[in-house]
Amino acid sequence: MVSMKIILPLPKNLKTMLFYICKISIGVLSVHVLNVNFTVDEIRAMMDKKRNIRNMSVIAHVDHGKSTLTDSLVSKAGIIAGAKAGETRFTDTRKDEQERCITIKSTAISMYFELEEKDLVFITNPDQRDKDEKGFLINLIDSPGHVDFSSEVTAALRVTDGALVVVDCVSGVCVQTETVLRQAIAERIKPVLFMNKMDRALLELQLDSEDLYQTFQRIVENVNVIIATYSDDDGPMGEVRVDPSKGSVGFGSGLHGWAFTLKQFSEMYAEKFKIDVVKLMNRLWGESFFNPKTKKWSKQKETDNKRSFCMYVLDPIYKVFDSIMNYKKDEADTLLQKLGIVLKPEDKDKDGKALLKVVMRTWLPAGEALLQMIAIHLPSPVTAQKYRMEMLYEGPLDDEAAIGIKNCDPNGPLMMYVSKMVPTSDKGRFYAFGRVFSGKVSTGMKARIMGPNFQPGKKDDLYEKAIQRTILMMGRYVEAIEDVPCGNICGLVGVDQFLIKTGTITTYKDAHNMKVMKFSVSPVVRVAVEPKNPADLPKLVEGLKRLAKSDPMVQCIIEESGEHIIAGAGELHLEICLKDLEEDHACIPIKKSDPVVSYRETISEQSNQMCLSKSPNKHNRLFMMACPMPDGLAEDIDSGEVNPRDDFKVRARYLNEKYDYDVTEARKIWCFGPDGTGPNILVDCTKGVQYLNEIKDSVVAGFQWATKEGVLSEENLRGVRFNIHDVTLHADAIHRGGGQIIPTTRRCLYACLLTASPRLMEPVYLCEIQCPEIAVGGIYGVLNRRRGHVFEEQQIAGTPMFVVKAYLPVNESFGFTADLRSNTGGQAFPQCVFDHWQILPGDPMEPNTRPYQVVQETRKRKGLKEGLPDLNAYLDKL
Amino acid sequence: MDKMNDISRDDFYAIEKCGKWIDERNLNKVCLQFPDNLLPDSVEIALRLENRINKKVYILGDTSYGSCCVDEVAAQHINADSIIHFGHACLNPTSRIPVFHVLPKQEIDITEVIDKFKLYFADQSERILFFYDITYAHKIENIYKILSSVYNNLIFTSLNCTSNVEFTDVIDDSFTTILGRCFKLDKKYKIEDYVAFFLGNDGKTFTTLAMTIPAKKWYYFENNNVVEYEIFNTPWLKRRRFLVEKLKDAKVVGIVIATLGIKDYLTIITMLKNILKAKKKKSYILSVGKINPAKLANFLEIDAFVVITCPENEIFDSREFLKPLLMPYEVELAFNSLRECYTHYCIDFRQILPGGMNYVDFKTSTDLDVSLITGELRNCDESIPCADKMNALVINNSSGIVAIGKAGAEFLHNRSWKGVEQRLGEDAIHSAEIGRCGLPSCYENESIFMKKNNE
Repeated sequence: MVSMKIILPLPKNLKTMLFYICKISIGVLSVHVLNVNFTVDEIRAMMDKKRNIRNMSVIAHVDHGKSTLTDSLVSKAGIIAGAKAGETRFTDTRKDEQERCITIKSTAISMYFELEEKDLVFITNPDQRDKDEKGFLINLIDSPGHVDFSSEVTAALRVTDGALVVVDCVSGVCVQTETVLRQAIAERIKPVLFMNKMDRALLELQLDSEDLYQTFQRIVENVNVIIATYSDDDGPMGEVRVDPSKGSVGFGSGLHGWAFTLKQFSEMYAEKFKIDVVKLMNRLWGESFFNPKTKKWSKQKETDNKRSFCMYVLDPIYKVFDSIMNYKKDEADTLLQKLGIVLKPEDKDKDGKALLKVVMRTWLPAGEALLQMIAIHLPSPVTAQKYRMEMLYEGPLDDEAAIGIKNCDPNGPLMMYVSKMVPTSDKGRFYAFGRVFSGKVSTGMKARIMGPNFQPGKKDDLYEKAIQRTILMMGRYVEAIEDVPCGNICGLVGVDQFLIKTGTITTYKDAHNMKVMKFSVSPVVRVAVEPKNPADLPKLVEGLKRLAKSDPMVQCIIEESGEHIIAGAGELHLEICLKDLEEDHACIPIKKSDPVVSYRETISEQSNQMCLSKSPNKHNRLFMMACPMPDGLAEDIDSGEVNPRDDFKVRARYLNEKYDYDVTEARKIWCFGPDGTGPNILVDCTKGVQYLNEIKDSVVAGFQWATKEGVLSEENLRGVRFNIHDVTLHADAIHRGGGQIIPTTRRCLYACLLTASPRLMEPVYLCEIQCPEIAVGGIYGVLNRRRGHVFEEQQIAGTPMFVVKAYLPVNESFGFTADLRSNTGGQAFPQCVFDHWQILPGDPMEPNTRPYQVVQETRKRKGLKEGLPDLNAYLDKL
Repeated sequence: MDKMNDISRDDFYAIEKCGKWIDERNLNKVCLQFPDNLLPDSVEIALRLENRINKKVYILGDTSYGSCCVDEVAAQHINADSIIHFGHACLNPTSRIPVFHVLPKQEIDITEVIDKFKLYFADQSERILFFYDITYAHKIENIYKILSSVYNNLIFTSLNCTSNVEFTDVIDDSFTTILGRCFKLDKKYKIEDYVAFFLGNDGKTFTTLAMTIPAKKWYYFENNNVVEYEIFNTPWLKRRRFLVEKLKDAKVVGIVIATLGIKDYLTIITMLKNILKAKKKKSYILSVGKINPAKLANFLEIDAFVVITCPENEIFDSREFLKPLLMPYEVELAFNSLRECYTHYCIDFRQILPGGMNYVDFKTSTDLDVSLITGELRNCDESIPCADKMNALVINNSSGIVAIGKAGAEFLHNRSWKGVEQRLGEDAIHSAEIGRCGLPSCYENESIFMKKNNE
């Protein structure tokens, strides 16, 4: 399907204030403008030239202009298969719509681009270009910038090798820029930088050229600081940092369709100065000054020399802007002549902004500069897979699959990673979209389809099936293709039934999985849905299952209470999911609850007594206590830093060093829970208890049960350490079986919790708000009302903008964006991303407190007895 | 009850009627079954009855399952030829021996009921099914006489049992029998065309009826008012939905027999076994007497239990069980692709048997499915060899490897303690110590108890 503009329903309170005009492309790939006609065979031929392929994503903070920039690229080089070219429709969207656009699904486009002979010399690495090939196949994925959809970014990054990081040079590096960049580096994706919205810097902010240089310089530094934090220059990727003097930083305006790197300017001046292009590029950036009178270069600022970047790069641009925007017709004409810009007859009558666009576009066409930057600086699959393999593959780094990936070997065993599912026009069916890393995937071949839970040697999550069809996905056009070799992105038909969201496709029978993607956001906001007509329930359930497939991160679950829950990253994400569910997946009218968050149960102190519970036959006794985990341990368990699969000795040492746990105790962690991996632990602190090893499985089962369904309101537990202090067991094995021990363990753990000042935890967003200074006051007001607290406030250097960082409980974030806008005259825009869990102040055991209310509401919703749990039901007397 | 005089007690327990019933049938070994709260009276009743009929009678002390169900098995221990059941009854049909129910009687203001009923159901031609709690059965005849003259399409249900009150046991093959209630609908109409009224409050008996009988609307009578019952989206129904989802995820299912009295219980077991086998789930049949959490927790590897029991059993509402307890109907709901109705529940398993009101053919769904609990795929075990019998080894065709059936060995393998292990040389050597002594409920030399005694 083609991308389209639609107006989305928003939360009621928001609706009056703004319309999000969202671009949703229902298929992943959307070909915007297609002007290069290829036959499938020609495209297929390009696919074999793996050194001339660039797979890249465009990433940025929301509103920094990714999609607009992408548009200008596509207009230069978009590909469409010849047969379909006649049917192409241009996307007839208006500019002002584009300016407010939010991308929701990542959209991929293929482009073809040829480098000129003079530019080819910039590619020195033999792995970056086939000797006799000038053409490049560029697969670009435009990803959403709003945090709520960053799982789409993650999925895009996985299948690409390079990233075009777009930064609005007025706002600078923002929170989402940092997040996606960090993620890119962690996936070993090489970045290039593009400073967007230069037109605004010139027209609105009227920065002088030195200030603008400083702004650019600062952004480059900021980006490089982030890069340096997560990678080394002597790391496997080589030099990752971006450098304008090397040409890996672009400047321009996506909206106006012009862009340049220093390479373009250097080429213009090279002849004049008789300096080599590469050398000149170095002189055009940084502390390099030129004295026009003495014709001398200098490393320092002196009275009558000027920064070369300003003089040779910015000044001509400023002049063009000045002459055109101030209607200095004659001056402009001379300038155009000087710059060698020839206008088309129909453009000659234009003036003002319209003329400016035409002139700039003709002079510095964005597509040319960007595509050169991409082809020269971003890695080919051959280059990238060499260093990405160890990050991508879970198995041994020297097995056939690993070597196939490493060498990007089309004759190796097939290894393909499916990063997302794309709905087809056939309801309920999906294309599996992904990247071939090794071998070839072809129509009809038999392959092993492995889901994320597959483990080598086991049969879980493994299917051997024929691939019905291999397809080329170009927007709404799907072209069958015989096979696709490694280094390329493609779609598969007929494997969607065997995968939920992601998976590995291989022909190698000993292959391990490709690593599962890690998302930077978590699904913390939930709504309960039910059909308006109860008889439609089966349709709803079917729809939920489809929705779960179509979005990389959304969770569709049925809760213990029987409610159907959709969990997403934020309000906007949920809104989109609900809309998709209602209109595309379930096709029935749906009732939805207000958004809610899920809570966690925890404790704030050590149990105030040794808790004893006796088994139903009274012949077995468990003595336990609970204590809160030290700060940071629960997070360490979440992140996998501490996990059940670690060697127990290594883990014990870590816990001892970081959290001061007793080594012998730390070695006797029986298990993690809930689900065997959660952030609660059970520690055996007993000495010399007879038969203890026999009941371990039963105690663990009871622990999993109790940590899954806490004592207050059957929510998950978090951050609780349980210690088993003593156990007395009946001497006869028949009397200490699971039936006696499991329920008793649960009762005992409940007693431990109730005696340890139980508390509730709520999820908290890290919220970054950008706004002008006058709006800061309004932000504080809104945050205070919503229990938020500001922990950082600073001005973005060189701009009048402020960045306020705050923690905001997720539960208070519903309607926050709208509230913020109305209190700041629409000038503040928040980005919220889940950050941590925090104790909800108040004692849930005291009536009239907020936690008490929450507990009661939850109990009611789950159909539990209202009121508080009674300690006497769990604690036994000696 | 203690202060009740002899005559009212005779009446309360309907001794005369029981005697008559025994005489008519010339029964020789009669068992008396009492619910726990009436057990204190049991001896006296038995003596009176013995006086009346001059034969020995037996009291069934501890019932095996619920006290609402007739305990035929206990009666068979002494080869009894009949049972007299006292107290609240779920009226499930029994198969082995004749039963006489002595239904409890509760007073109710008939005029009040009739007034409210007339007020609520203004349309006198409305099609109404009239149900009532068994404690009001003794008053029904009066209500019937008044109301049936007013309403043209009012149908009174009768109780499917032989009992001490009149107007209960009208049985004829043309009647529909559900949950011990019999009624005969007008030939032109279906049950969905009727509204149903229940004389009694919103208790287990009512909800069971309301869930099972798909009438257009349900009303009950509480605090002298007619109340409409909300069937859809009750917390109970939602919770059941979750449990059905759990069942779909289960790999090993236990079929727990918690009745030996209800007719057709063997048929339902066979049916369940076949369904589970068709879905390649391993099933075990368990009989543990009265069900409690401790007994079922002994079967750690079983993921879900299907309980065959009396519809009025309370265990389905308990949260104390480690693994979900399901009804036979829910097994069908989960696995039979031909059954799509979510709106009514056949709590009485006899309805889903061949010939039952809600019987549908079984057709297993083969489509791959996503679990809404784990978010993972399921129903996808076709490639895994499955042993038909528990002790069978299966040869995997492709690789020639011998595989052991899904359950069993793998579970044992995953347990941390697998039984007798030698652990040669793994444990430090200790000198012999004095072991524990005393009773298991409190060993004499248990460290913690010694501390307590010293204090």
